[in-house]
Amino acid sequence: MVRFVGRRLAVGVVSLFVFSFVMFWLVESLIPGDYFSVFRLGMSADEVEALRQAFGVDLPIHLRWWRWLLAFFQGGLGQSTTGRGVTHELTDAIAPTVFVFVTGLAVAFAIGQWLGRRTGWVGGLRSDGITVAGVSLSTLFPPFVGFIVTTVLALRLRQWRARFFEDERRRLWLDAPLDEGQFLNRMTLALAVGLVLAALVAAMWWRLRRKRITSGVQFLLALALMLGLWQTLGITPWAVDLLFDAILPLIAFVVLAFGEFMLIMQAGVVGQLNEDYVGTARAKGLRERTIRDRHASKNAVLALVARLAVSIPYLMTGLVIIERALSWPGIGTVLFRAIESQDIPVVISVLMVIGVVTMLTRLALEIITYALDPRIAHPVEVHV
Amino acid sequence: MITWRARTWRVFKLGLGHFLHNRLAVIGVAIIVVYGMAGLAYPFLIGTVWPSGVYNPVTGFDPNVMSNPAPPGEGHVFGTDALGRDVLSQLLAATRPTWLMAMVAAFSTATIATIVGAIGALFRGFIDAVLSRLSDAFLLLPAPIFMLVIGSSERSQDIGPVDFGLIYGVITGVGAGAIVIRAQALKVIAAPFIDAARVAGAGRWRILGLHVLPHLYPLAAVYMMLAVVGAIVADGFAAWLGQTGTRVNWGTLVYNGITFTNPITGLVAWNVILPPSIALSLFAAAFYLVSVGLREVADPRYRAARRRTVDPL
Repeated sequence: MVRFVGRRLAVGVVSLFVFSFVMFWLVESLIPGDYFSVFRLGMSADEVEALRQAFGVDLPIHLRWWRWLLAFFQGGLGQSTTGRGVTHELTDAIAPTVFVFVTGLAVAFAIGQWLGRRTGWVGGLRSDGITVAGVSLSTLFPPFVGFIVTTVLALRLRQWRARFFEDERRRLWLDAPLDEGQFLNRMTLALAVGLVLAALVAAMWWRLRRKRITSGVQFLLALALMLGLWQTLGITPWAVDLLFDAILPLIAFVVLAFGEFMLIMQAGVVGQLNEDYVGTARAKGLRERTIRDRHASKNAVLALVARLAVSIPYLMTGLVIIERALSWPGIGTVLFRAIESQDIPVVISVLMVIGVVTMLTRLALEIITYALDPRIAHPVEVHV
Repeated sequence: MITWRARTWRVFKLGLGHFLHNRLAVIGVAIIVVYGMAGLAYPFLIGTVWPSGVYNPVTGFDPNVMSNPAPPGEGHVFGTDALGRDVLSQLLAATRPTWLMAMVAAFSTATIATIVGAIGALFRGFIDAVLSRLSDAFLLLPAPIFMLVIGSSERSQDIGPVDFGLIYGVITGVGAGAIVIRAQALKVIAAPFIDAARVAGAGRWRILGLHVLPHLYPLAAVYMMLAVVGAIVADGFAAWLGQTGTRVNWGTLVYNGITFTNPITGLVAWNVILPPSIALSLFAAAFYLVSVGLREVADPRYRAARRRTVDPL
């Protein structure tokens, strides 16, 4: 396990390294000019040249990349053209994005695999209808989804909150112990810990008592653990308030993401229908539900996790677009402001952050696959 | 040579039969063909049936319509937008560039993914390591977001639909596409018939061309259809932000509909927002449905399970 994780981590770091160069090179060569050509403000050509030399902007691209990479890992990301540090701009934006991404992914995964499992097992005309529904959901135009969500929900939500909670909210944030980003980070962490602990409890229960915990109960357990963690960390009132803020991007993200999960899960379950072990289980007299949930879907979910690893960048893109459409103060909003104002240091750093998040999510998925699929840990030796 | 051609034809007919058996895939192809025909018919429509002064997608204006945006009515099937331009005309004008972009993206993705994936799997060793790391790196680069970065460059107005499709195809092909194809190629190369060919004295390129590639085409086709879905949404979004060379696009239309409400009543012009959104989703969905059918061609076990039969093969 440790060796596997170490190897995957090393591969991830190497690909991140390659990615950083490709990305740096492409962005620098596509968006022309630098700080001193954008803001030269009547300086003479000699003065501009002197400044370019002083700041190292005239160096060849691989040297600039190397200097930037060194700075990136030392935590200094340079200066945005807005005058603030890039680090400052990013730290405010990462927490909202990561929170919506992780929470939305968990919810979409749960809904998608549940629906896909059921519809795949039924098959036939109804299953085709569900396929069409899933396809049309997953190909919806993100700005359109954002617009629908805002027009249908946003105003009502705001009025409802204003009527009931206005005074409490004002008082709440006056003496908040942390800022919003820190709250969101703790909420993400609580969710992740809750999910992992619930999975561990289910596994231990099976080891010790030989009793299964159904996925529904597991989900409730994770939820309870998460709420318990909120209480222990003492962030409950603020967390609830922030959850209300995040509900619109969450809904839009889940709507866009779960259709694809459902389709892949459905195809995976359909692929298992004719396997021999399904016939064996039927011959043993097991209930259809047992065969579906314990045997077929366990194999199908592997395909889902594998596909997920490839779709992560696209899901990330969907989220970034939704953020822009709904003005959620995350990475997407920062990125588009930076692109529009040619703020190259911010663009590069945001792309790098997206790369790092994608890499870490992939790593997490690979660990999940490793835990689910014994064939990776103990490969079968084939002698021909 | 004759036998080779006959065999290819037979295999093709068999695959076509499997494909046509899936009604979703047939619907998908029908949608794509209808879009293509609409795009082709548009230049003829604008000259003959629709007077170009009224129906021009950029400058058109109908003096008979009292207030714009107007709801659907006589002469304007989807009404007009805030500037008095016919929505259906804009919708059709946007079809051809998008269709072209989708096709270019599909074929460039499939070609590049197959080449990179197959070469990596066949040669292994150093070449494979380099290509795999490159694929991993490109996988971290979300193509749609990158298209927006390109859109902000000073030459963005020169990026037509063909360039957009090509760039998108390179990014997805080298990235996710090559990873999927490489995994499949490794599976194929491990099969006994490759060993048999090697023992019989076939060279590397002969094995690649004659034995490995034919097993990769169906999967590459599945993957290229999936990539197009992303390309269509990305193209629409780049247009939504006003960052492509194409002036008329579904994304632009959605943007106009969301941004410019009726100046008198303040109501949202749904007749401007809904048609392009649905057109875009339907077009992307069509490619997804085709990929379902292609998967049945590519994967006999999946096909048999879908039809609840034991596969005769």
